[in-house]
Amino acid sequence: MEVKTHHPALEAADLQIGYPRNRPPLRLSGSIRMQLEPGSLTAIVGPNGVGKSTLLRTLAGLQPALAGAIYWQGQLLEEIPLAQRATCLSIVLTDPPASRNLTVGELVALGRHPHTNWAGRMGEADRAAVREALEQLQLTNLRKRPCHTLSDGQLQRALIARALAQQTPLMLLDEPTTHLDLHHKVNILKALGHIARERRITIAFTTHEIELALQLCDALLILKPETASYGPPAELIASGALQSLFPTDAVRFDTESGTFRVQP
Amino acid sequence: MRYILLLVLLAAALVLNLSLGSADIPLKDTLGVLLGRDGLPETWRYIIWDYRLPKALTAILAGSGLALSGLLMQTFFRNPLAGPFVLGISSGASLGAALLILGASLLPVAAGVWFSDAGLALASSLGSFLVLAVVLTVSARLKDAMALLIVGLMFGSITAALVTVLASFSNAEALQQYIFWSYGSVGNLSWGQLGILLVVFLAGCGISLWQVKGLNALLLGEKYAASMGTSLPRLRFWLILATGLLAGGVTAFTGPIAFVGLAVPHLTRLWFTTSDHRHLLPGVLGVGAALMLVCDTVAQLPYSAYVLPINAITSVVGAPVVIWLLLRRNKMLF
Repeated sequence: MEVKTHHPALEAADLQIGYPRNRPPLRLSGSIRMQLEPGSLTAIVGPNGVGKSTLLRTLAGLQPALAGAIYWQGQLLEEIPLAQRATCLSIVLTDPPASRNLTVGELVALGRHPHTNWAGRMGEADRAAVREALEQLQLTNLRKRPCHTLSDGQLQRALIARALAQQTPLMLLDEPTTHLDLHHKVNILKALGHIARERRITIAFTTHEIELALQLCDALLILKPETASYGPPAELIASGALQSLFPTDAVRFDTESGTFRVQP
Repeated sequence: MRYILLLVLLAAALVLNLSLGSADIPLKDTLGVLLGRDGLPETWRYIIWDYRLPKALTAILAGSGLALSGLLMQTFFRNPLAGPFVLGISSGASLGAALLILGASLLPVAAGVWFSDAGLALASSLGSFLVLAVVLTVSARLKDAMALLIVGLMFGSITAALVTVLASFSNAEALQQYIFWSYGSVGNLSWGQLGILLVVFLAGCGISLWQVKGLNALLLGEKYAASMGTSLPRLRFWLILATGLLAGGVTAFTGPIAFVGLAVPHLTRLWFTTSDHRHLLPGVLGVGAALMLVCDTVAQLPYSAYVLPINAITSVVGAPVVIWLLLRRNKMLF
């Protein structure tokens, strides 16, 4: 199904993330400026503890920002009511579904919640959306399997399919590639790229796979404790933002090959 | 298909429950009395209409109510070991009952005035709603459902301690009465009391049904539920209220009844092979009612004048079921 798209999909304006309830308030990473375009795939990278997941939850409206603003198609995200927000953005988190007994089909069908009535009754359009999502992630044969019998890669695909069935113009994923081998990592990221381009969905995800992200994404957001830089891969490599991502005693970024080299 | 089988099971359990008891009334005549056939002894009519039928209906409401509140709590806490009483509801009811029974024995003047079955029901429902009100207030401040679980357990400890204190000051007769209350019983309800229980029960069921979508969303976890447009504070309020009405209402009239609320949702999930609350909701109501009817039939010790405490029967049935589930699946999935 076609998703309606307008000019700037998601915009973060001098966004600061962290935990205001901590004393003193804990601020993570530098202030973030980015504009995610419709149909683009963006990776959020950075060292452990810099707030990648926190940023993702903040962008999803699950926790408040410290400062700055998030705009969804020009409208302040926090002003969009919860029910309407559920039709704008979907999320994929690192924790598995709480109920391990759900089948893949049921899991994906839950993604239709924002579109169904009070009892969650599925109409023909809903079933079609679920079918399509299962097909896109190659899960049609697994739809009757309970989640606890799935491999990590299959479970990740099922969770992405659920978000896809929600049919939102924006999808946010927290570390969709952890626990996967290289082959499956590339598969997941390629699938996300396809979804973004084919369906004009804006996708942002956090990852530790910087090298893969440089090859497969339209843009990257590099989070560091003091700064945050956003741009297309080539621009970021040229700007040297990657060289200073990690302390140079262990690894160093090689601009020529676009890879990290272990220091002797 | 499963629903038809469930209805047949339920009907069979009801007829079995009605036709077995201390008085020997043939099955054919039991049905005859219910259908208003003439020429049957007046005492049979009395036994069935004024004793067995209210008792059977109480068993149905108690079994269904406890099973449904158990399901709500298991989903709410996403914990397979949660039951209707995790929020301290039964402790509150026990405290209310203990204050009335044991407290009355300390103040002989008040005893005659207050003491009746209705007074007991009132005291225990006040007790459970007091605890519920505190839990609701605390839940508004706590973000974490697991912390709420611990709060419920702590309330249980506090009330249990208070009951012990009361017990150590009261006489043997009152103590015995309290202990009998804590054994649980589905008998002795008048039609009027049954009516009150039914209203409370229907309110609890109505809220649960209304929140069915939120319950399903919770299967994914709270963050996913919020991302799909579920308002967590609102859902939490309604679920706690529904559980309080169901478990608190039942406990007020029957005393605490163990294991039904814990075991029935698991049995139903296993049988229906789904986690979808649109199916589980009617499922647990039916299974809970049928199980309670069977337990009550056993507790009656048919053809004898003895009655076993219903709590003993539900525990003897319920505990092995939980162990069996664990052994079968190796883990409690929910």
